[in-house]
Amino acid sequence: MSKIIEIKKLRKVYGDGVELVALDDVDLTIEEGEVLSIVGPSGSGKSTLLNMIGLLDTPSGGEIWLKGQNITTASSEERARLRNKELGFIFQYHHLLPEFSAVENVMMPLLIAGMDKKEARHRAITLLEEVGLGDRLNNKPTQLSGGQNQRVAVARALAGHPSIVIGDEPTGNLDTKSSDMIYELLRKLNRQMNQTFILVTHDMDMAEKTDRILRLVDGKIVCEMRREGDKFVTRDLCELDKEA
Amino acid sequence: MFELAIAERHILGNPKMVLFTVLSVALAVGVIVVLIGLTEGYKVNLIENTVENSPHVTVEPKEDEDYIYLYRTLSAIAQEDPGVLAASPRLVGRAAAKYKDNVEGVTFIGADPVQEDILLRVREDMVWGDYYDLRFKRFAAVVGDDLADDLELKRGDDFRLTRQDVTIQVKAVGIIDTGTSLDSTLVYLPLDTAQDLLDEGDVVSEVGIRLSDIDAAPAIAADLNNRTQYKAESWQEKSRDILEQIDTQQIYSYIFYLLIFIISGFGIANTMIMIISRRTKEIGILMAMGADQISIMKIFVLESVILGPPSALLGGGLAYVAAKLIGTIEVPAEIYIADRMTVVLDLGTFVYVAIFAFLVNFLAGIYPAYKASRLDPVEAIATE
Repeated sequence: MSKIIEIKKLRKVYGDGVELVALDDVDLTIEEGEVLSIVGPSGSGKSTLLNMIGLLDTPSGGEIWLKGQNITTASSEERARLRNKELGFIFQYHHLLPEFSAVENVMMPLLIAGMDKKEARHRAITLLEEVGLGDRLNNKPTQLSGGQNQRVAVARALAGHPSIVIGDEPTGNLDTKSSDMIYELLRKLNRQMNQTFILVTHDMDMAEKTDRILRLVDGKIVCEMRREGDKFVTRDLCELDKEA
Repeated sequence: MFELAIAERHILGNPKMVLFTVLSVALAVGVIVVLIGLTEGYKVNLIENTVENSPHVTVEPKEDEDYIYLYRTLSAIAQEDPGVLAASPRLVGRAAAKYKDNVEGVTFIGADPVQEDILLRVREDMVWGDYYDLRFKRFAAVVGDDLADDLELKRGDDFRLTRQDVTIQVKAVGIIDTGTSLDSTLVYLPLDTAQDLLDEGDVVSEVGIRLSDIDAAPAIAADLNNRTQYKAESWQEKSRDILEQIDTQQIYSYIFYLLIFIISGFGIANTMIMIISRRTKEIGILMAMGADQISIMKIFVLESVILGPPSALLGGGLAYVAAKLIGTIEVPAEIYIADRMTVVLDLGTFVYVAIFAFLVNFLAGIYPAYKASRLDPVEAIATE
């Protein structure tokens, strides 16, 4: 497996007068095809880290490398281009465009990438069929259930064949049944396409299904657990006393 | 162009907001087109009025003289030009008219009825009697209809005209309605009767000339100025001051139009800011999907610009209806030069105004769109 993301001494500090350290010298390497979950209490810096990897936010210090390219200081156009080509986002709320149908929502990142409309539509239909919504193509978000909308959002995140899919509490707003369905869908796609998934979650059941769990507290990675077979092995950097 | 698709959905998704924005610009367009049309109409009416109701060329006395003495010779010289239809020697003066106990100040015009009728089509404006009667009846007068009302003068009544020490008695043989403010002071007299009233001998105060081609007036006036020592003036020169005044006023009008557009521009900008603040989260999502700042800007500038054409068309329709309505309202002669106001609806004017409206939409959209494109995606997505 090759490194897809490398984070070196990443810092994010908010505020002018009273400083709030959201990320404190984080080092992290993510392998291609990995399914990684990030857990931790509210305000621990999970979402900040995710926004950095997602190129939505810029760090105060340190470096981010994506596929061997240092993107820490990339221009806003370059970041937009990389978000479109390399990244797919799934949010806690589906965040679909309300005036557009399911198929149009899935087409949107492809149209932004400049794909021909017909081709984009074909790809969007294939994806929606894959997430089990082949019969809901022309429904608008208000005409779909929460779980269905989240599946449309998954299809949208995957539309542009991103190498990394980022999920910020992707099932946080769903019941257990829909959550499991979404997770299974992500896992299936991961196996099929070897895409990398980085998920922030509160749901330990879901975290325990991933390949690696990172626990973040006060902007630091305090614990890392890696799956080996059916069990998780705790790495030595885990400060278990802090976890309590 | 996904930007256009999004802009279109946003507009269709906010029908009420959009309607009011379109209405505000349409009103601006309509008002401006009508106001420009009214000014143009006034100019047209003024020229028509001048051309119809006053001599095309007026010849006045020599520099240091009060009257024209050799007016017959002067008329003959003027009529040598084949473009001259009539040269009417006229004696214009002020007098007092008295009938029973009523006294009014009047402007009398003494002229040869045949020449004067060619000059100003006097007989077309007669409401009673015949102007040609003045050819044969020495102490006869044609009176403006408003003046007759003011004097309580009835058809065929005798009344008196007094100027300094001279008083003559004349009979009202005709009533005239020229449709201008002159109707309350005008008295037509035979030329020799007017000369009696003036008591200066066989003189006139001017020679009025009518031409077959009104555009030839400046050339003919210049020619007369060269050949005689009298002062000849074309209708263009006579109305130059007022036309210039209209043009000067036009500058103020354009500033006023600009202000109207600026106000409607603020309306558009306000609507755009509202739309953008409602769509903040959506903008963040679009950014996460890879839409760059230029695309975000495009979406909202497009939204603003799309509203341009319907606004311009609606404004044009409003202007058309308003112009028709204004044309049906009768206005008193005292306040306007014709009995109806004319709105000249010129396609060119409309196109200019429409282009301007389009520009206003574009400019008003830029700032809100720029602000939208500079949103921080993380904050935008977190917006509730």
